[in-house]
Amino acid sequence: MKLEELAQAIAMDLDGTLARFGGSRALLLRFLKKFPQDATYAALRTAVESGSWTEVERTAHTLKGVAANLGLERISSGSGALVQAVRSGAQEDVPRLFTALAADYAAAEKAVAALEE
Amino acid sequence: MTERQTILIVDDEEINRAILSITFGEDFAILEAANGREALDAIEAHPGEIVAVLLDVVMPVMDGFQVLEVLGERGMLEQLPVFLITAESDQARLRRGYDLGAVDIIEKPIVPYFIRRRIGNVIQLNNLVRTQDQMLAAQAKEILDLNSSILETLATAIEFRDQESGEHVRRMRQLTLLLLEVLMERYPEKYFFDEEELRLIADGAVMHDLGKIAIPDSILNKPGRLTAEEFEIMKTHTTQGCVLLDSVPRLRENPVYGYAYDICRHHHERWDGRGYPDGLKAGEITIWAQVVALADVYDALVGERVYKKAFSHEKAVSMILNGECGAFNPELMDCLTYAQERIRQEFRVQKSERSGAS
Repeated sequence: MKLEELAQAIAMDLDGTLARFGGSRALLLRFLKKFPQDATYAALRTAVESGSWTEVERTAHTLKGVAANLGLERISSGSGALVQAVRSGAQEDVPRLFTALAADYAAAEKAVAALEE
Repeated sequence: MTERQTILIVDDEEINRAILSITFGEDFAILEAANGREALDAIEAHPGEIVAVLLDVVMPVMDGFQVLEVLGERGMLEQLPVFLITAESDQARLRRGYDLGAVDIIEKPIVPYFIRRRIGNVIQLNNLVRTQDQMLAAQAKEILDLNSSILETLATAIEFRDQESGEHVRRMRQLTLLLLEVLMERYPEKYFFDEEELRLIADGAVMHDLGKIAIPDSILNKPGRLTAEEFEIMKTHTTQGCVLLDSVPRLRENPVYGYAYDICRHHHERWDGRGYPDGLKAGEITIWAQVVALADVYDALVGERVYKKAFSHEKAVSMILNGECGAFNPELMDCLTYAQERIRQEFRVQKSERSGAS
């Protein structure tokens, strides 16, 4: 899968994202490949499962930023929704929001794994 | 710009740091820190080098707000622009960033073109302010130096009439400064002069004999002893100096005026009250007038005059300490005793310079 196909598959703004890597496709590819190894998502899942809300807020906030910089917009907005839910006291929404996020995450992970140039 | 300036990037996520590094790496040297604690360490390790901090908010160990708080407490935010780079969209939290002293808040995902502009503008502006500050300081110093050298020229012109070279004027400045320094060393709880006051007193010392311009040559350069009448006229050089100072337009507004006036008028007062023109005694005489009086006596002793040969440094010091040349503040006598070697050394250097130059 090429970057263009990945961008289409997971709704990434490829031009905007490439600009953050100085226009280097190789660099973007390298960091996309690294993304599934990032510990933040795993930490978020653990926090959701154990109901540690401040930790959910913190890790979701971090994931929102990293994903946004990588152009993984669905993961970014899904994480933002989790931050919002915890802050507004709507903890009961967290499991549902996380399930949606997990689906986007799995899709991105799969697309990234298929990525090659 | 001779050297690349440095930007500090603080984010716990490697990807975020990498993106900012790529964005700024072409134009700036980059330092990276993975949390607030590391950021503070980096700032401490590179004083004056960092021109901007790009700071993530949510981080382990120490977050961005805490970093801002610490920098604010240390009064460092004036010099060091901090930009929050954050995925935060909550307005109350963004406001808190500004309230803590962030220059600007930039949202993730960053857009390289805009972030380069926004941060570059602030850095450029700060560079401009820094350059202008340095120029202003240099100009202020130039004006002060010019002031001092005009005063010295004037004083030298006047001294020239009684066969003195410009060196007496320069030595008065140096000796006065040296004695003031020794006073601060010996009596730190009693005497303190800051840099500006030292400069003003030294300028005043240079002008101590301005009033001699009003004394006729026949008296000023008389080889023998002055008659009582002539001496009375000679004594008026103190008050004549003040008249001269008062005749200079707007000098009163200059901070040197008070010192110069006092020194002109009172550099012949004596600790025991038997000096002139006002017969002040002990603490009634300002310490700077006392210091100039002592410097003047010492320099007159070690120099040659129409009426006498030069005494050696040792002889001059012992004459002063024995009370043969007036009565002085015991604290100043202590300083003279304590610093006599320093005075001798400084003076010897100048003597050899003088013979080398002539």
